[in-house]
Amino acid sequence: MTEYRPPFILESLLEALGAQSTFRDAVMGDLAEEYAVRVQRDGRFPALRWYTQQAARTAPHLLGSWSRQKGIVRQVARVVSVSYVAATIALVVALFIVIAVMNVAGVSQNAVERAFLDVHPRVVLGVLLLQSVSPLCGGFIAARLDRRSPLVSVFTCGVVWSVAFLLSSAFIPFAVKPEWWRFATFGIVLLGTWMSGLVGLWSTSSARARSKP
Amino acid sequence: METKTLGALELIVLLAVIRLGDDAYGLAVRRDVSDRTQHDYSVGAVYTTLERLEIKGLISSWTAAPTPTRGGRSRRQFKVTASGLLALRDAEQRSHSVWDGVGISSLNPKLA
Repeated sequence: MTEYRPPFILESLLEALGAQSTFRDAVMGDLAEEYAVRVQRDGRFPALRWYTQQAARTAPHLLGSWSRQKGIVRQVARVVSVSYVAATIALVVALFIVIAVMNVAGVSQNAVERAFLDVHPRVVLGVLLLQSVSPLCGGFIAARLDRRSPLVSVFTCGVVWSVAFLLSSAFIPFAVKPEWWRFATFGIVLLGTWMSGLVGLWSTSSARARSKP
Repeated sequence: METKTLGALELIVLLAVIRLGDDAYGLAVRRDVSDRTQHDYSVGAVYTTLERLEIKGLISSWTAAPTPTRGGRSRRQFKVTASGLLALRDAEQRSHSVWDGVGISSLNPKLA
């Protein structure tokens, strides 16, 4: 029956919503059973289209089941906090590496500060890349930490961090100069966290699928 | 015993569970409900309703053995409880009471 299994990515995403196990197994089992019937009857593409539509319409119900569990808010808050600390450490380490490279290259601190104030395109790009280190690291960590509802944790991490970066950018003098900087940072953090979270989720799901007999 | 009131989808799903008997599980219920109402309900919507009915004590459920077709997941079977039967009887009586005095001949749109 392996050839009639639903798409792995969609199944992993539905599973990652963290619904209660009895509800999730019943719903996803039914979807898999109907998918197999439709592949044989209508062909792979119509079956895939049906499965995708059903997955999109069923996701809110799985989220509803997730929200009815006890202690779920505390768990997500814990994952977001731990990932935030880990991501901040990653950012600081990346910053030290950049400073060390600049020292080795003989770039004076005044030159760097001037470049920031003049918003040299290369410096802007460098700082944006540096800022992407923490979400890229944190989203992945959040997805790996939360075994019950990784997708919810990754989504929450993205929203919380991007808002935190947006607010904190108001206190960073060089970031205030071009107004668009804040919104670029907001976008990078949000998308970076979600993308790295999806990579983390994919790696967890693949490992789980491989370990199944 | 106090009878529970039923929503529209709850009533339809509960009737489907009775109709299907031993074969009442999510997918079969969804097929039955969608065929009869001509509305494509999602699998999630049907299960949410089934779970609500179970919380109200109108149906009970148990899990059958996992099957390869379902990706190794168990099938969840449903059965109507005594409270469920009472709720259905009550719903039918209410429906009769509501329709009382309105014949099918008086539903002709041309007469409106």
